[in-house]
Amino acid sequence: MEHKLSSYTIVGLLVCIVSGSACKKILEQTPRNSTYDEVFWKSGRDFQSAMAGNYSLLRNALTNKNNRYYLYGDAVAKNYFTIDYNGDGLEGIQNGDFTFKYNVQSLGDWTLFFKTITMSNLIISKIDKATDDDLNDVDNIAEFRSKIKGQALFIRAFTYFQMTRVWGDVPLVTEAYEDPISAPQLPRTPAAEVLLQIEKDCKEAASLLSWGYKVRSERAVTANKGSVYALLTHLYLWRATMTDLNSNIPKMDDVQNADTTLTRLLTEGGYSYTDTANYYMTFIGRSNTATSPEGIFQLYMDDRTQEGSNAHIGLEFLRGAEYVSYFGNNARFWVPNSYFNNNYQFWLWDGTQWTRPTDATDVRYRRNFDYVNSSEPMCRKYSNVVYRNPGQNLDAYLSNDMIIFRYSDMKLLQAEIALYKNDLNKAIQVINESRDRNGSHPANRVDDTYTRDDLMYEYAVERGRELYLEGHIFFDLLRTRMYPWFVDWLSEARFARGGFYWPVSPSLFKENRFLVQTAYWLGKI
Amino acid sequence: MKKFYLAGILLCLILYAQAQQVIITGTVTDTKNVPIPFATVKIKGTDKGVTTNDRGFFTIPTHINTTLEITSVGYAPQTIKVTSDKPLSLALEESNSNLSETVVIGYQKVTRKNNTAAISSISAKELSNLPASSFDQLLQGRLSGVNVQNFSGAPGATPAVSVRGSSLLNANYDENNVLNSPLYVVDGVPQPTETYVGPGSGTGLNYLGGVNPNDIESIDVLKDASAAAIYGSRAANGVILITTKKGRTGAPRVIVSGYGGIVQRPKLRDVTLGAEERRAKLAILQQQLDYNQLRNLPALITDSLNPAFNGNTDWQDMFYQSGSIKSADLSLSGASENGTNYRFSTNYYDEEGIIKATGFKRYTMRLNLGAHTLGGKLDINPIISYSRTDKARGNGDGNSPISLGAGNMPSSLFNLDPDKKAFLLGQYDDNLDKNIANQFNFTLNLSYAISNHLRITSLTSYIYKNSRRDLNATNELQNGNGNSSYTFSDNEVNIMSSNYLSYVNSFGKHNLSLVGGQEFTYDQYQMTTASGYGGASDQIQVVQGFQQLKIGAYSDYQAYGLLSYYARMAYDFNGKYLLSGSMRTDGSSRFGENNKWGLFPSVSAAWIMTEETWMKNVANTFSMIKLRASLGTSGALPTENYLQYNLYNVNAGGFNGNGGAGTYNSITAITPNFYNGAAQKGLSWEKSKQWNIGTDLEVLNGKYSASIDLYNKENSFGLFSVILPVTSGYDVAKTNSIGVRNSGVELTLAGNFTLPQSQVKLFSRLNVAYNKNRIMSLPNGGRDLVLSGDRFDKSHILSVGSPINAFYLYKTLGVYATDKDVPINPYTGERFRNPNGEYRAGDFQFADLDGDYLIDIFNDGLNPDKIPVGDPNPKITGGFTNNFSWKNFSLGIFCTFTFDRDVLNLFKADRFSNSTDGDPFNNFVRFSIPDLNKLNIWRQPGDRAEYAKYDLGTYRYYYTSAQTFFLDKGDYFRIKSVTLGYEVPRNFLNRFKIDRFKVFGVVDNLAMFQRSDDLPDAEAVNSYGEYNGAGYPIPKKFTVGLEVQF
Repeated sequence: MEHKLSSYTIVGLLVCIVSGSACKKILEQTPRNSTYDEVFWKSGRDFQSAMAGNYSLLRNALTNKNNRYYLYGDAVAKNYFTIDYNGDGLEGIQNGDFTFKYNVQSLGDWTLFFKTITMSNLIISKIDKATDDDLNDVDNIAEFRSKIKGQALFIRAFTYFQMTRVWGDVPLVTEAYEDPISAPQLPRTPAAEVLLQIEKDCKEAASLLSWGYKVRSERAVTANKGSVYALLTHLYLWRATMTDLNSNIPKMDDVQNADTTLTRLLTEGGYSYTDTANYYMTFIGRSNTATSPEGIFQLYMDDRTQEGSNAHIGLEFLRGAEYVSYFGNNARFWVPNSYFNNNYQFWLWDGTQWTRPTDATDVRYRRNFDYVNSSEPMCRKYSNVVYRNPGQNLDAYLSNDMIIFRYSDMKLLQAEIALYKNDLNKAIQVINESRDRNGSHPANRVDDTYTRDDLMYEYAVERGRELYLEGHIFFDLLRTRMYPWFVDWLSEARFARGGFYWPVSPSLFKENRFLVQTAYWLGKI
Repeated sequence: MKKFYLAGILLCLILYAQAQQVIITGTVTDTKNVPIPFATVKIKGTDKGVTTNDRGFFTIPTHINTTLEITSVGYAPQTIKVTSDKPLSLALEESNSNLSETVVIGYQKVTRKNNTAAISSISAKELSNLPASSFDQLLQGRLSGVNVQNFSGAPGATPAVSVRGSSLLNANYDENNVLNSPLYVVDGVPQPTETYVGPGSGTGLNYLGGVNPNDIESIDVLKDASAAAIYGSRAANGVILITTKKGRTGAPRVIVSGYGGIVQRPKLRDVTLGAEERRAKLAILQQQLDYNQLRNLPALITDSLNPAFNGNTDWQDMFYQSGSIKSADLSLSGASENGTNYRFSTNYYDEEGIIKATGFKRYTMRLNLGAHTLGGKLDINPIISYSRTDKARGNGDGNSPISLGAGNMPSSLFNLDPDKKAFLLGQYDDNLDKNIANQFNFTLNLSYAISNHLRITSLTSYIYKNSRRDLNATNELQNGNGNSSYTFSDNEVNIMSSNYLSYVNSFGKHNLSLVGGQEFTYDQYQMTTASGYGGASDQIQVVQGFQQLKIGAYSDYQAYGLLSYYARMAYDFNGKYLLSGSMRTDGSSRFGENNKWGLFPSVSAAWIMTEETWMKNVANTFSMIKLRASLGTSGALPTENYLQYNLYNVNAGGFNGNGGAGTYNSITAITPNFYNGAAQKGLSWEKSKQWNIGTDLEVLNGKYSASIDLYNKENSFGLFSVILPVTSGYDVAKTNSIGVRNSGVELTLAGNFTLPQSQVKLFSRLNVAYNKNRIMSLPNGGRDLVLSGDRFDKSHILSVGSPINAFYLYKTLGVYATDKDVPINPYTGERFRNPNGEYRAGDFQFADLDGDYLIDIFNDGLNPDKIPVGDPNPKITGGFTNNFSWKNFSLGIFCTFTFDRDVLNLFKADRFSNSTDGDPFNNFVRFSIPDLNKLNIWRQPGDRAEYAKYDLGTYRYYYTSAQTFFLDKGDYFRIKSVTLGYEVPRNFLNRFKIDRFKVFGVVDNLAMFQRSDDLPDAEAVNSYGEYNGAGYPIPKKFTVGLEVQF
């Protein structure tokens, strides 16, 4: 009896001890349904995917809310296109009223930009920590590191640049938080400091990246040294002109910086014009075999790899079965006649009198617009429709990249720099070259009878033709101070008070007691 | 742990005292000398015991001078001291007292008398043969402190069950996740009832639907912390213990029972039909529209001669049918003299719903074996059960079985053409949505008596469940875009093993019992879905033949582990002063390195006053007065398994215009989950601290009894999402940051009445529970939080000091009779307005809470003109049981009730609101409206109306559902079931070798008394306290059946 008892107990005891220690293991359950921080960042492949994630976040931020990149850069300039009323109140922003709750809550919210920035910060910190052993799946580890870090820096710089152009002062984060849960709430950093950080990031990125692309498929849709230089040029021009809103005289040191940066980009970048015979290629981004030689930086939105968009800005304009088989004859966005009056009509002496015909031979007029004689002309700049249901021509996606910086943009900036430097001849040359190239009416040229202000106006007109719906125009008008001619809601007084900046969404104030509203909008939201 | 076991062995060696062993035999009878089978004969101070056979005979090895305790349900317990080895003859007196019954309280059984915790129990008899698809539905009103709302009448639906209120807070509206449900433990095995997928993607089957209610022996609910704390980390929301039936000593018994009946739809909603609708609508339109608008009205309303538009169609009617219900049960049980017993049962249940193509089928099988070996020292008890459930879900929508809600019920004027009808009803084809679940459970219970006092038990269980859904829609139902198919399949394995030592002994007047053990649980869940759309052939009902681009696939893996150590001590002095304590520590894989373990202690004490000598003189009347008190802590786990990891989003290339993009430049995009993926290593257990004081009274040996409990349950460190700084890149993270208090009182009264001079007997029991629910703390400085993801009007808020999910509403003051009644802002001269315009005669008047003469219509976030109001959580719930018996007849009347609950009638609001529509007039014409003749609605200036004028595109939103006008009272009293039974007399049956023959009839949901006139059924309200008209109506059921025992 005694013996039996103890043997059973010992067996029982053993079972418990063995199972007990085995049990400790069941308290360590690791996820299998996703990768996670502790196991990621262990190979070059991981970093490439993270980089793709960073571009994706940027693409998501810029397309959010009816493609906000174009709302900030084009829509508020009002005279370029018209948003129809459909109940959501979006059209209100075209009159300079940014306070409507649904607009300020979406377009005034910078959350998505910070997600992009956080990703850049994370990549920057992780690539520094990655050992060579981690990256042994890539051929040239040093080059790979530079390329990853340079791109992340570029995305961070570009995102901040976009933000500071929209809001002015924005919170500045350049560190990757170890523990986001204990991350601090931040106040807005003065725009000047943000711009300094952008400049610093750009310079570092430029030193890490190289001209051109080794891998053809990366061309233009990933950042290289050229992309960085394009951003830097824009940055210098913005800083030169927007630092003091009460002055119309640009800061010459930054104009000079812009000049040298741009010159280097144009000489060393290896970019060139796309033949106008192949006009749409620029806005698709690539053909079957080649990427548009104009592309300096663009976000990939090609539906050949299922990355097209069924809410592309271009689709807001398209109408008629000729463009999208199942679309009706109404589109929410259209081009107002005032745009053609401002940008395509020119003074012509027909031998008896001065007339104002439309410059209809300009390839941009011919290719970019349709139904021009109707009351609601259509923009077809982005119209590379791909049907995902090709049998029935249903499920239309636009397969057009989002063009951010391109060669023509940079070429035209030469004129702006020349005008700031009072080099009128250079400006005349640049503007006329652009018109020549695009087949504009021979009489529609500028010459030395034009004053600096006239030339600046013609420059704005030329930008309006070339960069229609590319997210630049409103900022061009601010820099060049040409906005009074095009944007009726923006008075000079409002401009001087920073009234073109966006208010910050009230929802961002909930947790953050350091945050203050954009000065112009204080008390208006 | 090693030390613990060694100490245990040492203890038993010391205590293993030798004494002279004898075999005692005896018979147990009642006072009329009729043998009592199944009576328990137990040696006092040990856990050794036997049960009597069908002749009342027992035999037990013991020693001289030990005391035997003889108990049997329905009889007063007796003790007898063994003085010699002569056979004993014991006569038990009948009693209504249930004090000698045992209740299971986690790894231990105690008698009701010695219990120190707040426990409510019911036995099998109360649940048998009632027409319900799962036992949880039947718990309603039967257990005090357990609030069950059977808000959906869908066959196989999951009711809302909460024990002593809910403490779940969720910042996002989720109709399927409003209350936290208790832990269910079946035969000692905690059940994995958590779901990883919602009813929309999964099968939406009720996990508990696989348990046959007729297999249940008893249900005990551990309400307070002292009882529940032994289940530690999962017990914060109460524990419901289910014990299934076992074989009983005696000759083999076969019971066959079955019932069948019809299911009847309740009254449908009020709609106006035909010419009456046209008249009512034209009256409104002519009053509110100008000439031009009237000219452009659709022909539907103006052309009454058009055969297409002069219909009289009641759209609701099309979707209903009369349902039916069938159930059949077979059980076989028996036991041999040496203690080997068995019970096998099988069940078939088939309910056809009142909405087309809805129904529920269940097939179950359960085998419970028991054997004693090694001289009765080793008990082996395997339990095997299997169930298969099959739920037909109509149109496939888990929450809304009819695709026509308040806003889109078409006008009766449309005459239905066959195509349209086919389209509407085509969604209700049986084959289009199949949901099947299989569940297999194997439990092995091994128990070895090391000595008379010490026992080692090992309980191991293996649960395997899988479910499968096949859903497809024809080309026509997909608007001609090709047919679609969807397949879902999942399986879950749950392994649990619990090993514990129990020790029972008496030292003079000191009685002690100890339990200590270890337990682990491992649970693994896997699921796979595949889908295809835009297919070429309706005949294909699987995911085949779709273009590669139009196929989607998804699979998931989830696993968790739980490791626990526990101990419980119960001590009493002379059966008078009772003390018990328990301690459990749980380690969970769901928490990070430093916070894996949680400790959950509890103590409780009781004093049986009637055992005191100075109480002897009242003991004749009060057979027991017990006072008890308890204090303890239990916990709750987060539902997510991997919160401690910063999970990444793979295929994170989505953007506006292409949410499904997974790549950038055809490279897979990976980002951290910036929504809520920040690694949360610091998270810890949600804790619930609870005290309870109570008393149990018994009068005249159980003729009357009462028990009262008073409790306060504070949940703290509740997990909740806090908003992170935008600049961190992340949106929200869970923190242990909320506190909720549930406090209340529970009362149970029972009485046995015998009418003098007749054989009519009545047993009556009333239980009432009052629970008050308050949010005590919220994150982010306690700021109010409006639920997101709610409908357009955002009508719920979380606010400190308010109940969970309180309504967030405008205060309706009345209807402006004339334009002059609209107040004028003295500063601007403008009338009272909202941003879209001034209010007019006939509009509702809202209270201007911030005094700015403007009603803020902003509906996303806090609104200065809205206030938290009302309580969607039922405060008073309970039930009233009445069982009459007269000779061989029995009649049971069971009622349930809920009082003091507020309900927001969204359905009513939606029927008046066309304010937010882009095309209000056409919509008004096209869709059904309520019968305005029955309402005091504003028609012309000066009207003192109750209802504002019909809102047609005013954008003044005065018919918003978020206003107190639509707040209704949810009180109801329901005669839930009436059961009439007749047992054929025994002596008659003996001729046919039949032991029992019973016929019965049940009416389920007989009558409803409610305070609201507008709600069709005050119980058919979701857990947010909303009635939206889209739920499954609660039907009436009529069944008849019989039960035969051989």
